[in-house]
Amino acid sequence: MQINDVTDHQLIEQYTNGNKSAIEHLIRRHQQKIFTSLYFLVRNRELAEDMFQETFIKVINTFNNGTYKEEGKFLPWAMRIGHNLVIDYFRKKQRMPLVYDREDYSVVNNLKLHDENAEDKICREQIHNEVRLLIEELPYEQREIIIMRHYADLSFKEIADVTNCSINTALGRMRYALINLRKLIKDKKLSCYIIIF
Amino acid sequence: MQDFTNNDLILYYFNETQLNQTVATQNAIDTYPEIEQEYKTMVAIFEKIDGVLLNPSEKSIQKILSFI
Repeated sequence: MQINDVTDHQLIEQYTNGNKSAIEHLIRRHQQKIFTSLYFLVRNRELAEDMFQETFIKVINTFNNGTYKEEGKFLPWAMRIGHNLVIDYFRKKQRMPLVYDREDYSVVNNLKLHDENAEDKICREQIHNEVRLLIEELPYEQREIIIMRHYADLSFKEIADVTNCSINTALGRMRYALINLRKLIKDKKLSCYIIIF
Repeated sequence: MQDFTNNDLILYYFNETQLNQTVATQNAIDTYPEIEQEYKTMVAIFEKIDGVLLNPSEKSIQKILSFI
């Protein structure tokens, strides 16, 4: 059986039965979604790296303690842990993130390369960098809703539970996030404008 | 059409609609060009967001693995 055919549940079972390498597969399978979510929430790479490590250490501790309950999907559960770490962090700092991490972080180097020519590659790089910066410009609650729905794969009901709001509020935030993204793309006349509109 | 909102389109995109809502939304998209355009724009934005995925450093992964 190929590793891609093994479910998260099976990997967790293998790990708790003593197969230590199973956890590495689980981390590598979900690293992009979890790390991207954390990065967009804190907007600082170093902090996102710390939160990422802490999230998985909590995940492993839960497995080791035998307290993991398979109530839903692994990714939303792990994302909740990461989200709570972010909330705790900003609660302790008593402020929401304001500092942008504008270092030239190469998104491209971290994306899978497909068969594409140099022009396609440059275009893709530009669009991805633009979209990343646009998401970073959204207000925290709108960024949060995109991250939780899009990357963490939480349903709007689950998001409403986690963020302690109603489903309609969660949907409203997503609606405003979309409105703001469209406005930013138009105002800045970004290269993705042609593709989107 | 007057009862139709962008929330319906968002729920439809994320497959969170009930069967009757799914059918109604699909019909609305097929029937009203402005709703179709709205949906296409939304999909295009979501697809762009989808493309943005970052990786943690290998150092972070190794730190986690050393914890086991």
